[in-house]
Amino acid sequence: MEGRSGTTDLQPRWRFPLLAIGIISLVVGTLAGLLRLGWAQAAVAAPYTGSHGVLMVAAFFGTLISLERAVALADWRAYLVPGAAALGGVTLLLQRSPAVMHTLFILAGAGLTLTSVEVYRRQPERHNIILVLGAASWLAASLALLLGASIDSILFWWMDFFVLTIAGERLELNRMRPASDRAISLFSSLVIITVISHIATTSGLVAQWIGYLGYGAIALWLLTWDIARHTARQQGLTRFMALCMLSGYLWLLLSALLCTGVITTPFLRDAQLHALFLGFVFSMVFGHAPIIFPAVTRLRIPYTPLFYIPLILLQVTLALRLYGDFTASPSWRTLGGVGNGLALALFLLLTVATIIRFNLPRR
Amino acid sequence: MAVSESQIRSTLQGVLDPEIGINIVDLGLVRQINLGEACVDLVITMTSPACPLSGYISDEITRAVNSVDPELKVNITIENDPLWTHEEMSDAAREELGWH
Repeated sequence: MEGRSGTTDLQPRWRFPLLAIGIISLVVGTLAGLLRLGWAQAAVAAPYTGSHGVLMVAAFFGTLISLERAVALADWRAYLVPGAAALGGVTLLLQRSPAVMHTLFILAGAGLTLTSVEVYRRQPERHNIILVLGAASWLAASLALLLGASIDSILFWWMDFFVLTIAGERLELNRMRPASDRAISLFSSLVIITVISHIATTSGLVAQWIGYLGYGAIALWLLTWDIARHTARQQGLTRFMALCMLSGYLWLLLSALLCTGVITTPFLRDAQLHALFLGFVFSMVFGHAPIIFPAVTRLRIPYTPLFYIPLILLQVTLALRLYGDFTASPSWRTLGGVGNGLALALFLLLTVATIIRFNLPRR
Repeated sequence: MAVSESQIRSTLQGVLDPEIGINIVDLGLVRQINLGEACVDLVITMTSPACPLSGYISDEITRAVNSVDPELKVNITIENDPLWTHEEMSDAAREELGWH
């Protein structure tokens, strides 16, 4: 399969194993999270309760995002990156050496940084620098974990991996509209300030809550200027994607606002993290799945209004979960969390059902 | 069933960039259409070399063209040199996105 610049792209059928490992990591990671919330039916994931974050961030998203980047570059060498991430996931799922697992994620993070640099080389624009910073954040987190850092201490790097990757992609898309130079410069400045604040926070130089201010500012910028405000007025898939983005930005803003101390609860950190990781990141995933899965697999996933069901379920159940966090109610937290899992399961089932309906030969 | 280049261009106006909701012709992503006897060679670009949607867009293009002429072989080349800019958009697209 001919890629660009004379290189050879990886045939879609060879991408499926990488995607499969990522999705298995997502499923196991979700069950591990539910067990941590006290849902006993997820007991099968007991060996992984301490690996919930690594499964979700590195094994699932690390594989998925680097796979997406490799598809964009259309160069077989770029697929070594999701290959390393997927192998890291397999190492974790088989409960093998943590040092080997972390090393594989470091290689994947380094690889994603390099492929992001290659993207910048092809198109030397600000939004691609932000993509490099996002990838480097994952690399930094992976390095720190190998050196013995706690999950809690590297969370800002994991969050930056998502926020900066998404921010870079949105800034690229916003070139379609005549955003002023001042608005673009403001966005770039917010990104730089956010990264600097997280270096300071991780180093213990400033309080944790300062690290969230950048996210709040980025969310406000996106809610004000992102092209999704325009495309939400359209129809079909375009409207669906825009509404996913806008709902995600609101969750990012909420995650940041929770640092102001307006709500005090022992579960504040949990609320902040899941508003960001679930509300912001998975709203993006639900919105982009109808185009990214076909892009990676070359299978059709036509838009259907049914896609709104898991999206709405995610929003409602996340609100319930956060209500449980705010009121320190274990039962509401668990109920909301199970609902989150159900939303993810429904999203996966709907995607598979659509693939089967539109891609298998009819009798 | 023989199709003309203008028919192909018109058909491609039914292929939307899903993120923007505007067709790929008006976005300026279709750079060349070369119609042969039994095939059509298309040169398209993406708005960014980091965009992973070239396969998705290519598949949509092939489906659209073959819905008009099922026998026509569709060859698609992705070109990112020169890089796409908003100036390649049609007046209609620029109007829609607020450039005027």
